[in-house]
Amino acid sequence: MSLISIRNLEKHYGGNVILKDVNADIKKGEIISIIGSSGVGKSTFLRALNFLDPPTGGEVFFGGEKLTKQNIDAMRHRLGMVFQDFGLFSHMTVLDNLIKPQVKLLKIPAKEAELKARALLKTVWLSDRARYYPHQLSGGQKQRVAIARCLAMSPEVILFDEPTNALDPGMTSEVMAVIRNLAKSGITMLIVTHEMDFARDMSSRVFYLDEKGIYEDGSPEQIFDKPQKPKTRAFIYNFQSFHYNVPGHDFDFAELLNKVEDFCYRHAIDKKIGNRLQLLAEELILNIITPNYGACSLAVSFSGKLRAYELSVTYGGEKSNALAYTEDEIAASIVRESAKTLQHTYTDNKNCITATI
Amino acid sequence: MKKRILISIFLMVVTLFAAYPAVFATDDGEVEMKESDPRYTEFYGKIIGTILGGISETLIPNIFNGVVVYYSNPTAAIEDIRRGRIDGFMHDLTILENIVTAPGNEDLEIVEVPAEIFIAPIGAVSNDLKLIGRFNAFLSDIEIDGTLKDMQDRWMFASPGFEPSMADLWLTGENGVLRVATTTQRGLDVELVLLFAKREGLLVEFTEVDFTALIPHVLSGHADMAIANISITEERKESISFTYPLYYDQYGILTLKLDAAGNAARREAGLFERLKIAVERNLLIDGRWKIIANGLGVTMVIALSAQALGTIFGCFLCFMLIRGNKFAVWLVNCYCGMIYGTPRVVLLLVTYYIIFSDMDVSNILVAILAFTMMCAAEVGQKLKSAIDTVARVEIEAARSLGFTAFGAFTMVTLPQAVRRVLSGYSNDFVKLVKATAIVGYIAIVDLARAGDIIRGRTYDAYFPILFVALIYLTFTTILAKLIKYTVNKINRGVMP
Repeated sequence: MSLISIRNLEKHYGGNVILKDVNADIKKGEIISIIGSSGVGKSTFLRALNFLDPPTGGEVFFGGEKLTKQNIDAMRHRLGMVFQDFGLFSHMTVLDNLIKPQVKLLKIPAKEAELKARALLKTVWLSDRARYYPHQLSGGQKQRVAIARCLAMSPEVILFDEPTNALDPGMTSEVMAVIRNLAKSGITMLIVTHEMDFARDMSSRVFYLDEKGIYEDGSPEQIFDKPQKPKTRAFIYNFQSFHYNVPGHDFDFAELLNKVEDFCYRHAIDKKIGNRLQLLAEELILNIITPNYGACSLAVSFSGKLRAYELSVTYGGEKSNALAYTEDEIAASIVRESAKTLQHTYTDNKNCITATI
Repeated sequence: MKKRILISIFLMVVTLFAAYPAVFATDDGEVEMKESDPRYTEFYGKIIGTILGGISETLIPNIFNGVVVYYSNPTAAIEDIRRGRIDGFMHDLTILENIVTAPGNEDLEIVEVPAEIFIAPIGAVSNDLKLIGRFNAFLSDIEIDGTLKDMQDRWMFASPGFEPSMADLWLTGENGVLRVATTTQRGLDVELVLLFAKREGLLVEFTEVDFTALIPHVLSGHADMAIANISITEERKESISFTYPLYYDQYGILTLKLDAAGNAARREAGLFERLKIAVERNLLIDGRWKIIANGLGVTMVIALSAQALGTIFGCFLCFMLIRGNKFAVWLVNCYCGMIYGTPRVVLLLVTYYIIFSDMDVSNILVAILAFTMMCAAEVGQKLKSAIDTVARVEIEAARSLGFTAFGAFTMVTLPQAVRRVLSGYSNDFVKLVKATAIVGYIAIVDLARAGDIIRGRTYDAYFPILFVALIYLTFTTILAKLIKYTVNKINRGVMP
């Protein structure tokens, strides 16, 4: 029997339809990653499940019972939620954040609640921060407390709404460690995330959201390695490769470098290779192609076949190898030194210089 | 840099000039006078002060061809005489006699305006024609049996330094209470009223107000009659009824004595000496400090009650803003808009003269109500905006844990909102205490008015005001510290 059943779910704001005719069954113990582009409705979907933004159509069943505005308050403690901006009660200590909901909602006696709270703090490695106030904690610590607070209600399901979005890499690891531990405990989890590693390694199922619903639904291997439907493929591909359009005239080159750096980081690309990619991009685009040929576009991807990173710059005009005809000798030699192979092609009226590292 | 130093020095010198009028003010030249000319002719074409709404307003330009300067009480005029801003202050002789005989005013003298030139009939006023009839009967009777003349003699011809004491009268009041508005609770007119009340078997309830408020008080129903130096004029007769004349007031002009040496000697008395005299005159004689103590009590009662009630009402307004329908919200916003857009004094007067006209409600209650309304608007809006600033994600987190909307409100929103409002609370209360200083306008003797009353009796322009200011300062500082301490205790550890 499914723990959560979703039937014909619909959510619209005014005339704007975000989700339409969404159906899904979620079993106990599943760990589902919800991925997709920004604005596609991932958070909306999650928040519709616990009626934080109630659906405008369709039904949600939890444990066989249909969720309505009347019974949702009583049901909510079984459906915990962790927020991107933590939501810790800023006027209470960490300990009170964990104790008060137990006492007030589950009617657990104070002493017992405190014992449970302290035990939970231990599992998230924050025992020594019990008497601290939220503003005295770092982002990662706050999120860990938030997760502990959720667990204090002994929920059957935890919904995570982009839990590490507001955190830097170090804090992200803190929190992911906690979530990984949780995953092992067998609790059912739905996680909206951009952390593809986690999605691939720890989830039992992946929802790719697109076109106002769950566009594709499958195991991590299916979604990441063998995406079936076109949009999923494009997303995975886009996620796995990097694209940038250079307008040709005064553009923000620093932003381009920033995005390349970001891409390298997200894919844990070796620093040395990352540097070389950036160098290639800089010399090729800034000094060789843009001055003479104007607008161009940059693509970086990992080729499994070649087992190497591929960087290509595409530009228009007549067939012409920018590298061969450039006046900037220094730039040209740097490019030749940095790349393993270099190739120029002219297809569909477009020039393309491809380098591999 | 040089320019700044020069400007600072200039400003300091200017301030010095303003702050030590006794030393730098008038010239001390002497004037040759011809014996034949009556002295009052000196004031033809000069700058002469008068009481606002007094009869000399017309007298000065018409007969004296002088420039009129208006005052609401004599004390300010006296200071201006000493500073040389006006040449003299015209008022009825009885009042001027009081002034000149008050200690510290030995540098002033009266120049009489002869009765042939001008004499003003003084009457009591009331809206109640029956009351006027009875009072007129009383006046006729005491005129016939000579009591009136005795009283007039006693009050009008008091020798300098001798302040007539009020006649001892035992009032029984079996026939009710007579509410009388007056400017000072001593004098011939007051004694007449007491005598009348004894005859009629009434108790008297006096209210001290400024001269200009006397007739409005009767017209709005807050007093049955007013008695003071109200001269009978045709213009006044258009709005209110007068009794027969109580007496005829001769007028005089108060001016500085030409005794330059005496003036200089008076000014040179040491600061400490003057302070001692000031304390004695203003606080110790007649137990005048009790007036201030009482006034302080009244101020505190009004401020504390208004703050407490205003907070409760304000919470209600806030509730309306959150849970009310569109109309309720619009209503509350209109209310707050009116309160914010109107000066406090005007709000107070509207409450007293318009909302509560013809109602026999204690003035203090009216004042408390007016300030409650002001406080409520402020608290309501501040609480609402404090509530709005509570992080939405915290409320969502509370809801997703399972708290109901009300539960989330009491658990998360309210504690934070209240803390935020509290941090400004001490400031708001102090502002309220200071704001209550206007209740004198509706005849309440609060701390500020107490100072005014003492000033009216001693004609001392400095001490009463400074003393009252000091008390305000002390009390508001203590209160502010107390509130801040309590608030800090509540907020301990939690970030505001």
